[in-house]
Order: sequence, then structure tokens, then C-alpha cells
Amino acid sequence: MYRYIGKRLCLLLIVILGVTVLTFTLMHAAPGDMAEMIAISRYGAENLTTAEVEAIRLSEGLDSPVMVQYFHWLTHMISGDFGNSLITGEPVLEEILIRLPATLKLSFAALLVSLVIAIPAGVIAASKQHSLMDYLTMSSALIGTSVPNFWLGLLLILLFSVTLGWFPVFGYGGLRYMVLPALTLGAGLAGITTRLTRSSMLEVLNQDYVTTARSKGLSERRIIFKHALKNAFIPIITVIGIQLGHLLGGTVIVESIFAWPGIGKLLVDSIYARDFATVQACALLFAIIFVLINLIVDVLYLFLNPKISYQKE
Amino acid sequence: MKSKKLYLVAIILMGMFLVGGCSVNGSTASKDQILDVAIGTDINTWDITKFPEGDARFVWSQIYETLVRLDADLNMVPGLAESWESQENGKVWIFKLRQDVKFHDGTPLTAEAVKYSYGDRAYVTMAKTLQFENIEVIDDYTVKFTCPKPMPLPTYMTHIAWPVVSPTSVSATGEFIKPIGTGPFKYNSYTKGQEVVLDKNEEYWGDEVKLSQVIFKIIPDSSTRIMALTSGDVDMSLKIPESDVAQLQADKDITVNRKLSTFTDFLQFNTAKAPFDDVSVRKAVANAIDTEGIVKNALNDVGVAAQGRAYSPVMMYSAKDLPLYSQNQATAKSLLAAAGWKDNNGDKILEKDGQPLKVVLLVGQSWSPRELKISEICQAQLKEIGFDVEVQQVEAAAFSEIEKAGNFDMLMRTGYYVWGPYPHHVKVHFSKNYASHYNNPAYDQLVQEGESTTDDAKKAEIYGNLQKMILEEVPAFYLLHEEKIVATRNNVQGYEISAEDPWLELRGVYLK
Repeated sequence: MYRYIGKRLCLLLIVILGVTVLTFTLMHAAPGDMAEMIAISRYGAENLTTAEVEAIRLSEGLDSPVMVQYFHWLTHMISGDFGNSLITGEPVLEEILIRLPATLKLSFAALLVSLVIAIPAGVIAASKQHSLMDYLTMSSALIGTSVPNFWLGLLLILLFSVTLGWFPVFGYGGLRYMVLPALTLGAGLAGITTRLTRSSMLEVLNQDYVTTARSKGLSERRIIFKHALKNAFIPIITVIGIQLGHLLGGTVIVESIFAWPGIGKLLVDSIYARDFATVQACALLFAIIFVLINLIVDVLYLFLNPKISYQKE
Repeated sequence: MKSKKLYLVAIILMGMFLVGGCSVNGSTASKDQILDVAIGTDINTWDITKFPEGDARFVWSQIYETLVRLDADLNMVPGLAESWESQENGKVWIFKLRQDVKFHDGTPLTAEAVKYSYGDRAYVTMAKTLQFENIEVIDDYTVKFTCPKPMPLPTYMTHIAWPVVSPTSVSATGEFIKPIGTGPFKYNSYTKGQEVVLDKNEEYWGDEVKLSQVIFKIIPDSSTRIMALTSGDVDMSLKIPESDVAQLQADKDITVNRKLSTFTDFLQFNTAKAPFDDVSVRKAVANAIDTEGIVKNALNDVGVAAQGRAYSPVMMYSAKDLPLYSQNQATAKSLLAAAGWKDNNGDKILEKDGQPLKVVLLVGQSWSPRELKISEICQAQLKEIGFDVEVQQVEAAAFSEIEKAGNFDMLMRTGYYVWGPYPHHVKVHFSKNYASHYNNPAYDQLVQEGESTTDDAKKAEIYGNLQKMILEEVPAFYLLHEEKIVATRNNVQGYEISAEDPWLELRGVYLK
């Protein structure tokens, strides 16, 4: 298994290379002149002159071919220099590291909220299929997935902050700042996970070994929690992994509504400003996160189902 | 086993809620003279090497000051300079500085600091918005600017984006340390993407500052800014959308401060290509759009209909007796017919030489949500006279690329060269300008004369003529004059809203 993990980590390098090449190409293919955008961010759109734009093109090396620019970036990146943000002029790595803790906190809190809601709800719905409980759970799950984040976020602020005064309207700080954004994000994710848990459980509950367990006289509780849930977890873990990856990539709408200083808004602002140094570094970070999460999910499979093996036959 | 764990997690989560519920009132208890202000964008720069964008200027206007100031009604009053005079017909300007001003680090304000603030480091000179042949320090408190040509320099010196800063804000090796100005508040701390804390300047040269601290909270979403105000999380909220004014005015704990600002929304034409190379077609647009209806219905009466008038009535030299436009579809249609546009195939879209009257209206995303709303109304109203308008909303980079390539017919814009009351805005239609899509030598000549003449009566006449020319030639059709909106909780006293757009006056403010 360690060999397997080692191999996957080597693949990580290839993924990173691919992702950065792709981002670099896309940033250059996107409409807009990068030199002009830098000039606008320095001097304001109104004070732009062609001479300034051309001066910036030369000083930032934007006149050389894209491949040359990429290798320039790559060699600096390998030596740990991610360049400076074109918006603020500060080191990109610093900009990202300042925001990373906020994103990590919110992502894990949202995931926790979604799992606490979704797993029990999905299990109950599956074990009481076609009951009123099942229909209620499934329709709430549908609502959870359909309600847009920005709307739910504003409603939660209106109820819990403005009317009841329980939580702050916005900001970044301790636990009480985290509750509303985590609920907003978690509710949407919970919808998906609930539905998946239910269908996955139903599938498992129809398997022969469950029938055998029942005929042995095991209690339904024991069957569900001891035998079925563990097996049903494989697709659920996969989706949770993907969800976590997306959360860590930032959630620009929720960050904006709650004034949460995460990575999502940084990335979107950087894309708009054609701040390619920041975009590249973010893309790199997300690639690493996704690959690592996938790896962790794959390793978790082994624990959930010993029949799965990554050894060669 | 599994279920027990789940219960445990659920209990922890409930605990989170309870903790949140209990400690909520802790932070607001010991709040005497600390003002919390909600702004929408982060601070992109603290240093004069860059243009401070968006709401950064509200923060700058607490820390930094300018040589010439504007009062709430945009009259030019002495700032860091007590007096100024021009020589050589406005080519040379001499500013006399106040002698009792200290920067936040204790160093005195001198002519050297002024020279530094407009020197090679300043973006305003790098970008050639201001060009000087020479800046001369005559004595400690007298500084002489020599411009390449006559210009109204004091009107430039009111802009908070190019203030007087202390040379000590930069280290010996040229590294920026922190913002050091002369303003009523001094820099305390800044948490990126979250907040800026400013402390009272105990040694402020003007009247004593009443607030002990100002905390700017960065809240990107305008709905959240409003809810933070209604819940009391902040005392003041800037950049309130027009659509939220009525709701806030109904709230008895909140005061909505409104004032007509210097900013005007306009539809700029690409006069370099058909159909808007033809002045009749531009005039048809001016006759087709009901700007009074837009302000009344789409903006809930917040703002003033411009009816084609380029300068907000609060601006200097804004002419009173201009022949403005009112919606008149019959005139619009006959103008188009006379220009050769007819509907030959009965699809309600006009044609000329086999080409349909199809135009692209480009809208940005960054300024205000009202821009898209107004664009869509223009689209509908132009459709009634036979235009097929395609509204394209694009991000800034794409906008500037499309603009540069000329692949548009109309642009939706707000402001442009607008700071203070002086009509610098006329430069937007100056043919050599980056943003101009209009070429009229007569117009260019008037712009240059207006800038260089020192005679006030002559200036009024020239700018009056420019305003008339804009109405006749329609390089752009002006839609509405913006109202600045600042909402405060009723405990905020002594605030007077200024007509200057990115300016916030907190000197007289205190909390009750």
C-alpha cells in the first residue's frame, strides 16, 4: 500500500504540471490585455495611456512568447518564488496563506454540518422507505440542494442575526461567526449527501447478506449500523471527498455575503484583474488539495471494504 | 457505536449554537466613541505609488489630506494650504502651507513633503495625470509648481487619490512602511479583507476630533452591509443601492443621508462607425429614452434625471438654461426616417442599405448594479423606435478589449474624470483620450481653451458652450445624476454628507 501511495504522489507532479499549463494557457486566451489590466490596477482606468501599457508589457515580461513566460514562472515557482500579486504588489504566497485558515475552518465546519444532517437523515429515510419520514426527508433534501446559497445566507442572517440577534451578521472570528456561513454551505451539501446515503443504503439493504443477517434474527438497528452502513459508505465517501475539494477551493458567494476572508473571493478577484501570478498559485494549491483528497478517499476505501486492494494480482 | 458517535457530534453542534447565543452581546458593551463603518471593497493600496480604487478612498480621506479641500457643497476651501495664487496666466501656482500641521509621526508638514508627494514616486505624475516642469521649495511653507501649460491646478489638488503624505512613510531603501498623513485619524492596524482600525489624531490641526476610533469593516455584499446596519453591528454603511433606500427610510432607527453627487451615468456612442457616426441616429436615441421615467420607476426617485445634461447641477459651470431632451418617440422616429432608416421587411427593426439597425450596448460589472438595470430599460425603449439592441455585460478585462477593438456601438458609463466640482469630465470626449470614441476638432479646441483660461467668466462661457455642444452633437447621451447615499444609525451625530463621491467627512461626528 505504501508503494501505491508513493506512486500516486509521483502522479501528483504530473497533475500539477498539467493544471498549471492549462491555467496559464487559459489566462492568456481569456479576453483582455494583461499589461493593460495591470496599468488599470496601478493608475486607474481613467488615467490610462498607451505608453504606460507598453512600458508595463516590457517590465513585466509580457512581450515574450507564452511558453517562455510559463517556463519563467515554473523555474521561479520551483525555487519557492510565486511572484507578487499584480493587484496589491505583495507576495502571492503571503496573500494565500493569510486566507487559507479562514477557508479551512469554513470548509470543515460546513462539511461537519452537512454530515451531521445528511447521514442520519439518509439512513432513516432508507430504513423507513416510503414512510412519511422518508418523503419528508427527501423533500427537505431537494429543497436543500435547490435553494441558492446567497438566498439562504441572507435569510439566515435576517432570522438569526437581525431578528433574533444570536449570531453576528458578518465577519471572521470565533465559533459564533462560523455558524451561519457553515449552515448555509452545509445545507446545500447535506441535500446531496442525504439522497446519496439513502439510495446507497437501499441498495445495500437489498443484498443477500442483509437478508441472511435478518434471518439470523439480528435486530434491525444492528443490521443497519453494523453491516449495511459501512458498505454503503463507499460512494458517500467519494462524494464527500469531491465536496471537500470544492469547499477548499473557496466559496465566493458565501464568502462575499458573510464577509468571510477566504480564498474564493481572492481567486475570483484575481481572475477579473488578470492577476495571473495569484491565479496560478491558487490553481496549483487546488490541484494539490484535490489530488491529496482523492488519495485519502482511496485509502479510506481499504478500511471500509477489505475486499478492495491496490496490490497487483 | 456509530449512532452514539453521531449523537455526540450533534450535541457538540448544539453546544456551538448555545455558546454563540450566550456571548453575543459581549462585544458591544464597552463601546464609547468607536464608529464602525461598513465599506464594500478592500484597500488595494496605502501608498501613493498606486491609484486607490473603490472604497479605499473613504479610508484614505481619514488618514490623508489635500492642499485644497471641498466643503460639503463642493466649494473649494483651504486645506493644508492656507492660500494659493497663480502666475503667468495659470502656468505657475504657489501654495502657502499652514504652519501648525504635523504628520502622524510628529514630523512637521513642510514644502519638502508636498514636493515628495507629487514627485517621481507618485502614480499621479507617473501616469501623467499631473505633469510638472518643476516643483520648487521656496521656503519651509511655500511651494511653487510650474506646469507645462496653464491649468486650474487647485482643482486637481482636491483629489484624495493624490494627497500630501509624509516622506517618512517610506524607509531609506524605498520600502513603504505605513501610511502617515496629516488627517483626523491615524493608521492603527489593517487585517486584509476584514477591517481597518484608525485612531484619533490627538494633535489634529483643526477642531478636536470627537471619535476615539473608526473601524472600517469590509463587507463585499450590499445586502449584508444593510443588515449589519439594521442589526447594529455597524453604525454607518456606505454604498447603499438605490433599491434599498425606501426600506431603510422606513426604519426608525436609521437615517438615510442623501445628496446629489458629481457622478452622472451616460451612454457613450462609438461615433467611429455606423450607425452612430450619424448625428441624427444619436439624436434619435436621445429622443427615445425617458430618463425621468428611469429615475422615477427604476431607481425609486433616487437620483435626478439628466435628460442629456452632461454636468450634475452641483458642478461648477453647470448651465441652467440648456435645451434638454424629453422622451418624444415621434421625433425619434422621424430623425431615423430622415437618416434613411426604414422598416422594409415588417420585422419592426429598421434597415438601411440592407443592414438592420442592430447595435451592441456594453455594460461593465464593477460600478453599480443600476447600470445593467438602466441598460435594459434603454434596450426596451430603443426597441420601440426600431432598434435591435443587444446588451452585453462583461467583466472589466473583456470590456476594455472590446472597447479598444471598437466592437461596440454604445457603452454604459458612470463618472469619468469626475472629482470635485470642476468639469474635468469634458475630457472624456476629447479625441486623443483613451476612452474617447468621438472626434470633433471644435470640441477639442474648446476643452483646451477651458482648461487653460484663467478668466472665470470666460471659463463659464466655454464650459456652457461645451454643454450645449454635447446636447447638439450627442457624443454621449447623459441619463441621470447619481445621488450619494450613506445610511447611519441614529446614535451617529454630527455627520454631514458631502457631495464629493469618494469622500467621507468624519471630523465632526460623535456617538450619542
